[in-house]
Amino acid sequence: MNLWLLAGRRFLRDWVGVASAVVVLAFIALAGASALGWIARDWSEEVAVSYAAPSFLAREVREVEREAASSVPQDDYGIADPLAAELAEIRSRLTDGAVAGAKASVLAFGADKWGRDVLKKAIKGTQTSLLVGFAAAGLATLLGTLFGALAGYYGRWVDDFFNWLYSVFTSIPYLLLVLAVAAVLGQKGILTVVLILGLTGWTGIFRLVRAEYLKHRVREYVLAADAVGASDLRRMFAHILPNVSHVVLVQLSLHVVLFIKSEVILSFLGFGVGVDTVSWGSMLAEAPSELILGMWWQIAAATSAMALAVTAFSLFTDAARDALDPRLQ
Amino acid sequence: MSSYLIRRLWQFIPTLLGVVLLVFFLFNWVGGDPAYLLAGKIASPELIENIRRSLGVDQPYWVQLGIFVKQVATADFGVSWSTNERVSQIFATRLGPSLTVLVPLLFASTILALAAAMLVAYYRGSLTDRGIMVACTVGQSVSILVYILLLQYWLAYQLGWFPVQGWGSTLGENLLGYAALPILVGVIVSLAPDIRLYRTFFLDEIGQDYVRTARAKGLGESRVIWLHVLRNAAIPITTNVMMQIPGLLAGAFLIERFFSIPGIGREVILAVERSDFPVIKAVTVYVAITTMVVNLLADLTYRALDPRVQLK
Amino acid sequence: MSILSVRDLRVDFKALQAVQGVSFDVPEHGTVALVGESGSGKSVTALSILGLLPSNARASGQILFDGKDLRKLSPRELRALRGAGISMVFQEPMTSLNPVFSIGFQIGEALREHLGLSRREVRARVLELLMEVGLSDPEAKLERYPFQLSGGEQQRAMIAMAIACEPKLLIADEPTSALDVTVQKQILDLIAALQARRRMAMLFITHDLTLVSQIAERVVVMRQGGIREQGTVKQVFEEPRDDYTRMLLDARPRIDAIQTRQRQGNAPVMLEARGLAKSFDGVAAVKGASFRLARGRTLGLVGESGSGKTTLGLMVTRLHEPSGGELRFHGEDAHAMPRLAFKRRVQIVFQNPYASLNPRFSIGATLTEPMRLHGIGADQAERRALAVELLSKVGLPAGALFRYPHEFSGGQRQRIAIARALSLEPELLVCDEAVSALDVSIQAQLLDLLQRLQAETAMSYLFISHDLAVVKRMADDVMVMKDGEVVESGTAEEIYADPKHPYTRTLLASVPR
Repeated sequence: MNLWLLAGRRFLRDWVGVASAVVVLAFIALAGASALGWIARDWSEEVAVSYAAPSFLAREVREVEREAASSVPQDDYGIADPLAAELAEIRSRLTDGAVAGAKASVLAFGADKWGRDVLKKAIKGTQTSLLVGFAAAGLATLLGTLFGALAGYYGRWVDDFFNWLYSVFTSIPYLLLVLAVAAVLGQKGILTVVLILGLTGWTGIFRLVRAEYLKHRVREYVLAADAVGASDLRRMFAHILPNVSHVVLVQLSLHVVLFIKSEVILSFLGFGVGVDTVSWGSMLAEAPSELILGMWWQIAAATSAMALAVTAFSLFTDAARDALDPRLQ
Repeated sequence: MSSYLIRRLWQFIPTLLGVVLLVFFLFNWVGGDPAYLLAGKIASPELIENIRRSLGVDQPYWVQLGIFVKQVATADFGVSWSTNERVSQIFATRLGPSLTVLVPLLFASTILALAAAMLVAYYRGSLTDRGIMVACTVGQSVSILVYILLLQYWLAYQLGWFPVQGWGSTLGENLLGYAALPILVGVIVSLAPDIRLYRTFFLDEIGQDYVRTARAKGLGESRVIWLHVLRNAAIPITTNVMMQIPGLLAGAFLIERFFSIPGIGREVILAVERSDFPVIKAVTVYVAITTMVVNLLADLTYRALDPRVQLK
Repeated sequence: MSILSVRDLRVDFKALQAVQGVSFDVPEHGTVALVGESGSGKSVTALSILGLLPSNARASGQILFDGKDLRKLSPRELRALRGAGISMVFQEPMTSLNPVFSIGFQIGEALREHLGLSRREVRARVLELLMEVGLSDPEAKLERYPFQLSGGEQQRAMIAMAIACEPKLLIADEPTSALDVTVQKQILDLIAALQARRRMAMLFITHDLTLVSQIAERVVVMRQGGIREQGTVKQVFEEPRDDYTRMLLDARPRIDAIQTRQRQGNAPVMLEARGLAKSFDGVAAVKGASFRLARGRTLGLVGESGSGKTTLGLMVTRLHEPSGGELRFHGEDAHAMPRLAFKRRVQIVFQNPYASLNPRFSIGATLTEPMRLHGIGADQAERRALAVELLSKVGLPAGALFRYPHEFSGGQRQRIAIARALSLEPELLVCDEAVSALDVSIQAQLLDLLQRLQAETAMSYLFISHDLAVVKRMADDVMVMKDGEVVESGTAEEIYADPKHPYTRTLLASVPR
């Protein structure tokens, strides 16, 4: 039975790992459904009153909110609007009799300043974060693995070149580099963020993969492959890479977490995704002003969604790393 | 030894060159025409041309590169595009506040993390170990932004234990007053990843053969851990702590921004928000140089701590 | 009078029962050898005496030392005993010594801990100990770090540390297994001398039966956690009662009992090397080796670690490019031949069976890869069929094709490695310490296999080994290497019966008999 199956079996015996894998899959499913438009499509619509209360708060508080929401608008000085009746009729005809402008005063997780549903925003944010996390991690892993394999296997000037590139990129602290690139790439958007994170985040993976290749290059099974006539390319990718893949996978997983957190910071600062989409970071960006007013549900939603996703991912990564550990074979 | 030092310093040059090229590529090429940014919304073509000329971006690329290299060599990056302050002046005044937060932060977080990690590594597999590790995992999954926001809100705004933000004029006032909460937040945020890392270092050492020999000699557990294991684990730990320094310099910028601490990090964020290229370029180059110097120091420390390492 | 009495010791590691009810005694000033192959539980038994087992081990039974049951002592009492009443020496001195403290410090620690001596007293005592264990220039060695000493010196330091507080019992866990054969003998002599002078009891653990008769009066034979036989050395060696013991005794390559092979006829020369040399970063690993190898013959290449024998073997297979000299294969310049053509005719089997097979490849993939690369076999089905034939040639079932290396034992993996080499039907097979990592009983089987294959295919062997007994069995001609040079070469008969070079003589004299 091959080593992947053995690792799989070992993984399944770790209930923490399995539980976190289930949570991760749930998040992925959520993100996928959101991306396909099945849910949270109307996240940006004004469906509630400003700062509508979440439904899990005490009834008295909701009463207070409802009162506040239905109170007389600011600019009513007590003068009756002569055209009110006609306007109401036009409105109802336009909307086919549906109650126009009926804004909810209570939502599952409340609403933000513009009356947008916080729950839906959180779900949409999941889509953004996971997309960015996976795509950027994929890009960074691809680059890091390729560079590391070449540098570790061939050595000499190839190694020197990649080491030089590595030292240049790592001389600049990660977030600073990311911000600098963000400052320069004026336009925002998911693709930009993915590129920023992916093109700067390959260094950790590079170092590990390079070390692995240096170690494996002199192992006897590689020498044996050389002895039977395997070419350099074959040795690098058909022989060594499968033996290094467990390191790569764990790194991929770790970087998904790292990039989700980085994207949140970027979006918070305004350098991440644009205003046409929402991220947990942009939700957090609205938090300071909300907290002063005592409205805490948006920050709670964003934080719990993020904490749950990242914790699940981290635990999953730990369990996967233990299951894949070659020393246990 | 001195030949090793000279060789390492010599190696700075290609790396620094690479950083310069990277920064140049990013800001002078990819960055596009800054003249439009600075000219404002309504700008006449002459105004834009004037700005271009004064910035020197109407010159061909290699001339611009030459100018930049000269700037790096003389440590004079001109003036900020937004405040017109000399960039070097900006650094001189902002370094102090940054250090006032960073130095205590580094000390406190390292000592706490070490203590916790040793405890956890020694009782590996016990409930305490697992509990702390799970707490670390969950703790790390909450964004630093949330820690800053919440702690600032609760401890400063609601409870009034600390000033919400700002900076004073004397060191004492700063250290005990304004820097306290930022340092606390910084320590809390860095505890979780540090504990996990140091725990790994300790576990690696505790599993080594020499620990078995030490026990076989009849040495007490505390001596085995505090002398034999710690002395060996000190090697990767010290290098790790030193490597954190450049990252901290720039990474504290979130803390500085929220607490309105006039440090380098806050300058960086402001510069990025205003597309103030000279400042960003200068910070990047300075931090790169600091990183290279710190790495060299880390290597030398490693050599001093580990007799097996031969400097080549 | 027994100083140590083990009664019904059992040790479990979760699901694995490492020791299953072991009982034996160690007389007060005598030596008992605890013998077994890997997995026998001998090391676990030794560790449990001092309570040094890892935390996931569960032990039960009685261990009586000087009348007290060690398993019932408090941690403080146990600690007082360790290093003072009972001491232990481990197998790998490099990792068993703390790399960041000088050996003077580490030896002195035991003295300070148990005897409470002052710094000056400690220093004087440590110097005495260093001299007693035969370390030259003890003043300088005091300050040295472990990595600055050779393997033999490190082990001497370990021994000094163990005897510092005059223990009544010394437990030596494979103390010489990691050392070169000439050094082994020195360390064994040292241990024997120390024991005689200090009248210590000793429990000596080893897998090598030949050492036992030199060093012990009593022997305990273990297998898979249980004792198969025990008694005086004379009893057990001359009249073994147990089958396993008998098998172990028979499998010993007793150098004096082995006949050298008789060289027959004049076969054509297949491989010729002239002045082959290899340097790494200015350090010469091989300094000009010349030899000839004929068809169907075996050339034994003997030397200790650092002699350059492996490098020479790798040069012959073109896995290392030589820095100088030339290699001729059937008269042709070997380095002018196309790479694949050469590899078709020269193959190699490596030392470590746990590292020479790609753990991610199934056995079938490993065996068919060379075929695919060289165009043997028209399609995968044919190649599989050929692979099955190869497997049966080396004594493995066809079902192995679909399994993975980790499912096989060390000996079986070596067979697979041999099968892989055979898949190209080479004319020359380089065996680089091919049996050194295997248990002695398995070694014998593999050597039989290799000899049978040679008879069937008329392959030549370049047989590299540090084990003189094994080489004596396998080789027609022998080359002895030291520090990169060939110090002596000739037929096996000449070398073993009448060695001329002083190093060859020392080497042969060091072999345990």
